[in-house]
Amino acid sequence: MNLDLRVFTAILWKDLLIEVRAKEVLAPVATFALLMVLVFNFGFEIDTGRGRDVAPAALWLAFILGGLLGFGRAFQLEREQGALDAMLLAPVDRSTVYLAKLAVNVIILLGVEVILVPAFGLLFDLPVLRPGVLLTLALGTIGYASLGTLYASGMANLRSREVALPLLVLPAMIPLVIAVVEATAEAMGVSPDSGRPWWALILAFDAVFVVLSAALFGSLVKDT
Amino acid sequence: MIESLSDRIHAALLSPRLRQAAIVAAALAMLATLFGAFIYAPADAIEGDVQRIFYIHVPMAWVAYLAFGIVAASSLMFLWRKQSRWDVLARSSAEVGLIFTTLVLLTGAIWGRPIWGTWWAWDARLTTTLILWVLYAGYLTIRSFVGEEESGARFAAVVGVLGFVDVPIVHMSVTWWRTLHPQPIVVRPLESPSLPNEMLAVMLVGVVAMTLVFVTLLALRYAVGIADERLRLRRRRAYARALLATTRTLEAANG
Repeated sequence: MNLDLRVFTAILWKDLLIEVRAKEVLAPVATFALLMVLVFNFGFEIDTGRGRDVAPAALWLAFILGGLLGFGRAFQLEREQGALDAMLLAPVDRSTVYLAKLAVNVIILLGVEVILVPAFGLLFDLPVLRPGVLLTLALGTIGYASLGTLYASGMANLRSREVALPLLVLPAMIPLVIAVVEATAEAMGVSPDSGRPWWALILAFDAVFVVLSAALFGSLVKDT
Repeated sequence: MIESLSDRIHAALLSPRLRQAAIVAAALAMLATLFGAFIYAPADAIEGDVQRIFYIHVPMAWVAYLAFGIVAASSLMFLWRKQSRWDVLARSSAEVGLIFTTLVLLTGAIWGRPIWGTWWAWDARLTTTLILWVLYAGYLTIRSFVGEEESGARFAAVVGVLGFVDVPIVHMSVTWWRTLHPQPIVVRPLESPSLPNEMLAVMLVGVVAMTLVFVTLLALRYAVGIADERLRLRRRRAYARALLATTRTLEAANG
């Protein structure tokens, strides 16, 4: 794997430009995630004292479920008019293509968080702008996006990918969900400090899945 | 070297004589396990006869991990060597492995009901097994979605590798998570001070027996998969021939 920075920035720039012009992913995903938070509040009453325990889980679930929609949408755009195939015709390193795609998804998901998280903090009067919370959000997003990007690209040609994507992504990311929810809860002060190095687990998850996905992406998209 | 070794593995899985031998050996070993579990092994001092399910429960758990290890190894071989037989092996092992995982969960629940007083507890080991089940159920669902194309097989292989890599991370996260929350008071057979020799012997026989059952089922499923593959190839060839013949006839008619 030799990262080609020129290719990386070219793909990143192209995809971000498409997103800025078409606004096909960020706005709908952020809206959906906010809607999920709203619906969760009717079920769990996060605004009351008893419901505060579930607040970090509600935030992450809203974000994760919204993200699943986003991955599907991003790769549908890729499929239209054979955009992905055309890009893969270029004689460039596959890992670079994957890492660029991952970077695009991470940036868009961080954009979703910029809208979702302050709104969440305001609605429930929770300290979301603490460094610990923000760091957990950023690290968790990378791990989540690494799996989502890989699996969504593998399914670009699949008819039932809307169902298939969550079936694969959700079980595989259970360790990440546990770690980010606990770390967020501790950083927000919602639950007591357990002394567990949750960040180490999140970092390990990120490292394993980013590296493995970058290595396997090539065999996944080859001659499709 | 690797090529001749893998040729041998695949040939052994397809050999009818070895398959018959495996069936007989599995049957005999299972009879020995049943004898050991119900007659030879003493009743547990605390749990009584309920504990006897342990002699098939633990071996099945071992087989489940073995099966998913084979899925990951075969998937890697498929991505590397691009031979469809590895893909067939990965799929076969995942199917058999999922059956064993289901049985592990069921026998665990049957044991848990009288001993823990509940069918299910969110203990780290149980939770990991459940997540394992969901992971490979997802894998097999995807396999049924992607159809027979080669790109689909490659995708499945990637999922098969990543899924297995995930297992230790799942176990660690669940262990940390569980120790944060109230735990049911449980009697854990594996952590009891010492296992009497008779019990240990029966369990080892059980492991051998269950592994033989697994290998037999895997070989049978693999043979079906390979036959499927051959049939598909033949169909494709017949179709190509028919197409060619039609073209020639048309050309002849047009002069």
